[in-house]
Amino acid sequence: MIIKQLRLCDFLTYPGEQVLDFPNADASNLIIVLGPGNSGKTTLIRALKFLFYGAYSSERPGEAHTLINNRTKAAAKLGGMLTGWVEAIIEHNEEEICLRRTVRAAMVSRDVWAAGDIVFEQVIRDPRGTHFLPDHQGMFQNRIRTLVPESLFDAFYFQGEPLDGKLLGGVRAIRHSLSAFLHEDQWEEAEQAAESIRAGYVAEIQKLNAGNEKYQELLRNQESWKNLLKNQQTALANNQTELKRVQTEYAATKKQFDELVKGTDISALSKQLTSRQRDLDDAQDKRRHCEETICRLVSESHGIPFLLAAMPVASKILLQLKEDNVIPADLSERFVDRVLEQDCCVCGTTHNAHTRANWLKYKEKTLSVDLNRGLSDLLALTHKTGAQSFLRRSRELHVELGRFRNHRGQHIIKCQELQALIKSIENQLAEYPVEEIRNLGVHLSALSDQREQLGRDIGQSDVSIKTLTAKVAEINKLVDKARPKGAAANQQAKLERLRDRAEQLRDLIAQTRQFLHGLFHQILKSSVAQDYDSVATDGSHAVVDYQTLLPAIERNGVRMVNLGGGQSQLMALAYVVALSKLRRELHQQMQQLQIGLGKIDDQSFLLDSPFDKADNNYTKAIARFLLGSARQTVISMLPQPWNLLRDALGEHAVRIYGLRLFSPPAQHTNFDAKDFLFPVDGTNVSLRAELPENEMAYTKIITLK
Amino acid sequence: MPTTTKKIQLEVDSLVSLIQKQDPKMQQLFSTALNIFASPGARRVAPEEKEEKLRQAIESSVQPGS
Repeated sequence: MIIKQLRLCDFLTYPGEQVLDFPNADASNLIIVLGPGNSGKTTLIRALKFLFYGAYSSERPGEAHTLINNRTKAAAKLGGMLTGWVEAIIEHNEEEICLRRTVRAAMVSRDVWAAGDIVFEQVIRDPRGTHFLPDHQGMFQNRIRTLVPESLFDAFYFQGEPLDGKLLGGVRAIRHSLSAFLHEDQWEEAEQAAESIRAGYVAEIQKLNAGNEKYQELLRNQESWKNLLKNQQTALANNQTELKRVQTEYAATKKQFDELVKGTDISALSKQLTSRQRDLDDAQDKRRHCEETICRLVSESHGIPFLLAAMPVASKILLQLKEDNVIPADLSERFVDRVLEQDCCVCGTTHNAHTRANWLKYKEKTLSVDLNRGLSDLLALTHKTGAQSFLRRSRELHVELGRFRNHRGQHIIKCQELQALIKSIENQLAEYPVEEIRNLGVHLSALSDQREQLGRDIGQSDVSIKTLTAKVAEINKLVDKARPKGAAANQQAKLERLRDRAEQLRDLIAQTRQFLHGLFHQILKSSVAQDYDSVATDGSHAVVDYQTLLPAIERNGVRMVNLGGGQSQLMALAYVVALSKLRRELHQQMQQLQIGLGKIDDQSFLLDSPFDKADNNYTKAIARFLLGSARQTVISMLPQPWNLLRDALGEHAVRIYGLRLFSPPAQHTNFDAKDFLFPVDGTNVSLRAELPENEMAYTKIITLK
Repeated sequence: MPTTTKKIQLEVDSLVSLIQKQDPKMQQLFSTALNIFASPGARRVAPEEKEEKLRQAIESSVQPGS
């Protein structure tokens, strides 16, 4: 549907009758509407929505008078009837239709309005004047709803951000709208109707054989086995489709993965890292082993190494203990007490809270038996009795401990060297997109698992289908054998033929539904990717979900949210343009099968501020994309992005309109007057004009080119 | 500048061949069914009415010589 002209009268911010012509020149399809904030750019979309569906502010139902321009209302007299309307000439089926929707409201008292009525009419202008024809049986209303379903209005006449938010957010209503737009819901309805008719014939057959219990039982069994078979066949078909999709996705992801690691030494570095980490683990194991051995040797030494190290102090204490006649059994306890009485610990450091606490702990637990023995041996040494064995044991222990301490030291150094090496490899790897590669690796692994599972499910379904087919054939034979003879036989045979026909039809529709869905997915995916991927500067790419057909943006297998800078606007545009063309192509191609889905004209797009919050790269990309993507594109925008796009879009625009905002000075703060100046016929026209204080703001449409 | 520079190709060959594998009466019935449910204005027709039309189409498709 192409809009040739949009006419507004006393509608919202537009007082009086104002016109926007949308010429469709051979060389260009682009119309630009420039306007400052609050000048009525979005109102143009509201006007179209009102014209198409009678929609207005849903928050205030019953207040249709709010659509009438405020200045017009302010000048109204008590009891006077006011109107505001939106009219458009649309091109459809190679003919032009002029449609108008009018809102009427009467002023009851100051600021109180009687609920306005809304009328939708066809307008005919001829030399004798303007005539209005009521929309007989809602014919035009239905036509509009068919051309642009209300639920999809936002996809074609939209504000950049809200739409992409809905698409990326996977809003359920959008999925339903898509289903309607691509006729998927009608395909489904046809399939369900075929099934319902089939079930009706089955019931009739049952009824016909009401008196024959045995035969009825057979029929019930036949129905139930056939249902089981159908369910298995459906599951098989779904799994096969899913497997195909998973295989395609696996191949694409693998390609992406290979490209990401291609030409890098990530693989060698990763192998090195793994190997060094293994060496480190090994060295740490050995160090731990040395430490365990040292601990074991120390624990089995009855405290000798410790006491040997503390010999000077320990000997002194032990001699005192001997003088006190302390018996070996409680030697350790006394020894600890004496150690604690000293100013210094046996190791030579001055006592502090830490050393005291350790000795007390020692006293309570650790030394109990072993140190007692060690102390006894040491006491013996000081007495020079039994010294031979003690000295030998001490020497052996010293050698063994020395050996393991030495090994431990070597392993500690090795660990330190390996840790430094690992750190260096990790730093080298940090220069590569390791995280993305890892994500892709995880994704590939998940896809691989899914592929295997689907393969197993398909194998099981195959087996089940073979078994069930044999069972159904068997029961069919039994049904044939038991089929009633006589007068009812003909009726029975006829009903069975009808049942089988309905079943065949149901299955064929189901098959085509599935086929078309796969096709829609494939086309939307490749089309959106083609338009988005080449422009994305961050390596992201557009994807389309198989189930919902909704788009998303991914980078290295990770779904991206909170996109800014114009990425999502570009993706949303690419998506709706692809969608519109897909529908058009579907309609044309179905003609081959004598299926008339209706004629689809070229679609027009009215985009409100599609460049808002977009960075320069995406602003230019969106502009390039819009040129030549639809037969008619109307873009409204603020003056600021226009300054950036003037060169790119200006020469292609068949018409440029300005929305000149008249407003009181209070609304003129924070703007640079020169941003709103446009050269027209050698003079500069400003899109801002001042009104006296307390005057109501309004907008005038002016032609800039 | 061409008005439409990008074109989407809807490869329906496989779909057409799937339908053409059916017997002519089935092909006809399939088209009739989809025309009942997906033609312009089909959304305005009551579901019962559409189902009744489909039932009639099924019945006429099994009649000999139809």
